[in-house]
Amino acid sequence: MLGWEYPPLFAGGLGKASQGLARGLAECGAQVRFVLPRYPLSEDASFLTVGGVGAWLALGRQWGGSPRTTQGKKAMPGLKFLAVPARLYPYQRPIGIRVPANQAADDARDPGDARDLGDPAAQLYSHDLGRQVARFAIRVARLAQGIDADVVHANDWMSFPAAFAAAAPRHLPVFLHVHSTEYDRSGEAVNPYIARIEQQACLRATHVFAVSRYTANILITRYGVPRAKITVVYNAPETAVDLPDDFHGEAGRAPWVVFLGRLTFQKGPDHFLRAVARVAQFNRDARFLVCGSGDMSDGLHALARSLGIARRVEFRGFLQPAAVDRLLARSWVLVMSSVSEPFGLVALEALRNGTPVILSKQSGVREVLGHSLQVDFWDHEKLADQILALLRLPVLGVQLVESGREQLAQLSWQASARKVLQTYTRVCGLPLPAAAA
Amino acid sequence: MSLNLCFYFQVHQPWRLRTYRYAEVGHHHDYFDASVNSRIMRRVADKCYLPMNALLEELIRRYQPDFRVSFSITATALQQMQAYAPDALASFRRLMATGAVELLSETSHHSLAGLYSPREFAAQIALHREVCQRLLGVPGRIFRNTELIVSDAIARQVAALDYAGMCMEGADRVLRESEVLHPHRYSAAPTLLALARHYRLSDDIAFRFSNRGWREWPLTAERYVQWLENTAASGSGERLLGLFMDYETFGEHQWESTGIFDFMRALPGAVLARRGLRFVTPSEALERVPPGDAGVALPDPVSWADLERDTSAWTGNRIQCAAQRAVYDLESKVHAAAAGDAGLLEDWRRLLTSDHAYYMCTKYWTDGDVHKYFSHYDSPYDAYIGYMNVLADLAQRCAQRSGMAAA
Repeated sequence: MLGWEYPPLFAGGLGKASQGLARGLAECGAQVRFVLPRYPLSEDASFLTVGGVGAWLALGRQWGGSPRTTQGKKAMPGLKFLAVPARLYPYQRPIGIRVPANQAADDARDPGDARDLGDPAAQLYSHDLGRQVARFAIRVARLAQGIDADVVHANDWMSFPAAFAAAAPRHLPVFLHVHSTEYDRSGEAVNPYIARIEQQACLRATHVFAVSRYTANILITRYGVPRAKITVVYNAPETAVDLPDDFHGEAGRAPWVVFLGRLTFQKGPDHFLRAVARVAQFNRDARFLVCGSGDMSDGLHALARSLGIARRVEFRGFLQPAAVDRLLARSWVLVMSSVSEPFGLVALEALRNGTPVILSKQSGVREVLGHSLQVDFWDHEKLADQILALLRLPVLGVQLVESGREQLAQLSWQASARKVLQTYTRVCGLPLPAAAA
Repeated sequence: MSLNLCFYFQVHQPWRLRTYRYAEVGHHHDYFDASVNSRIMRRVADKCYLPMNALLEELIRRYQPDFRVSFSITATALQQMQAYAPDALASFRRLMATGAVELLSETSHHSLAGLYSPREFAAQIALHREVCQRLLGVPGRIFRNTELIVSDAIARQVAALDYAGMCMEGADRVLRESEVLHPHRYSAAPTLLALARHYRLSDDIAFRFSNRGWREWPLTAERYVQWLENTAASGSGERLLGLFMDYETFGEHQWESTGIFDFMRALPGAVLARRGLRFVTPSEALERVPPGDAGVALPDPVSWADLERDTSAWTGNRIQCAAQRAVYDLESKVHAAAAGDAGLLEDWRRLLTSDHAYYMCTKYWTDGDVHKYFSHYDSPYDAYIGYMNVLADLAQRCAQRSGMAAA
């Protein structure tokens, strides 16, 4: 498996989803080797080894040997995966791509950017992403000579070139996993270089996984990928935090209305501010928290001032995962006002902390979370109305959390991985590991 | 030994709410969506009320006096017919004039007052009689509660209003199959007789008729009458078969193209050609068919809704319960303020209509089914939010009026 992010170094949505999937596959009995651009070689779970391409190359000859012998374990009649995590940044508009870039001006570094706030992901995505992607593919190609796998599975466009490089010598089937598309990240102002990589890779791949029907439809309408070549595999929540038996929503919570995500076009933080400006007129106690960093940071400060709500909005910057949990557990409602959201793991994080969510209708997560408030990102009037209702009618939040969590309990990474394995079998006739049959 | 077929058709339309934002509270007091309500009433009148009334009138005249049916029509439906489909109202009047139709009594606003407020329950029953009398004719001594919701407490209230019978669902957990064919005394109110709905034979028409996956599809009047004969032959003496269903079954739930009108056109002739089968109204049924020995005890409410046949379609989750509590909490304030605000009481009553609670039902929300079909909202949660916004305005109107009265 190839990818670009992997926790704990990179805890963005892509990293978490890549890890969830890799662990799920390993739990099903598949042998997973995850290759990233840079990562210390480590065994993340049994049957799952993660490492940077440099580390894998250093391992040299061992890679080519049978995993049975290298691991010294008994024969596993399962699949072997080459996981090459290339670095794909679905949650921020890639910065500083030098290949025919069409967006140099917007992507200039801004002082509110994550890099200044200690977000490690920023270091990975800065500089010349295009060159990094190419370099990753070249290094994986060197590794490929010794790759002995049944399937190559890559997560998002930055690892797609590497995936084909890895598969070439032995003509391995290539499965691409689309966690987000260039159209999600950039709207109509796509970087044509990235869009072309995504399109050509998806058309050329053996099969494509999409994280939602929403994303599958983008692949079909924008890239012309045949519907039959796409399988939807939903992300899953991490283990839920238990709620107290007497959960009634309000205890220990403040009337905080939270936006949590990168401050980029894709996430719609401006729509959040425009909606809460309406809420502010009718509710004096509520405070509006904007958590995240990104290229829209300055503009959002200015927008808050012009909407007359600057004193009620707090910009909290980028938050580490533990801080996210702490914040969500004390908040009243999480608003996901994304313009385009392939999935939306943050909604699941809110629910595991007992916090109700309002979901953009332009999101994938709404497909698995019917028990939620949903709104078009541009419908500020309705979004404001939903926030006001949650603030004044606590029973609504309690029911949304209870029913939403019941629904999420149906999802698991193992189930998603099983669907992936079954698709390998269906498409390539590979035998299934016992746990996935 | 004969089987007395008792058709009862339910006619109801709610006053659906328009999109009402919290920002409007205190500014706008018009809550109902005239365009949606008029459009739906017009559509149902054209597809169901007018053609089916015409058919029933034709059948009643052809088989006079042997083909008989009964109706229960809510005041909210009558109000909307008056406003949006006067031709439908006129056609119901013609049907009443045949003398072969019995009108049942119910709450004016198709409310759940029977579960929440004895005072409002009695007031709405009286209001319904008044509206019927003015527009249609006088209801008899048979009562049917909203969605056939019946319990011991409701039986006691209805008996106290001097009714002779009350319709109920012939639910398996309450009545055995043979018992469904006899009236039974309500244990909590022995002067009141229960008329049970035979859910299998009712739903064959109301739900399964157009289902192509059903083993019996397509159902013909001849085959259906064969089932009725089998039912008749399964016992002796006078028995009752309650065929209770939504009137919108004809032409709206089951489209004309399914053949539902042809089925009904052929049914009376096929029934009346058999010895031992006849049509009766509910009052006639109580005169003819002796009550069974056992009493019916209903500590928990029974209804005709969903597989559960309980009240969970209206009070099954937190938001539904909270909404009902909130609207009934306003009862005394509405009465106190009603004198100064003519529309207040009627607006409040329209909010008591059970449909609003039904739109908030979440039990099958994620499977997508009949509940979604009947709702004009995006989700049950949006239904709750819109409803609570309207209630906030209504509460403010009450407070203003009482404030003025005090000053």
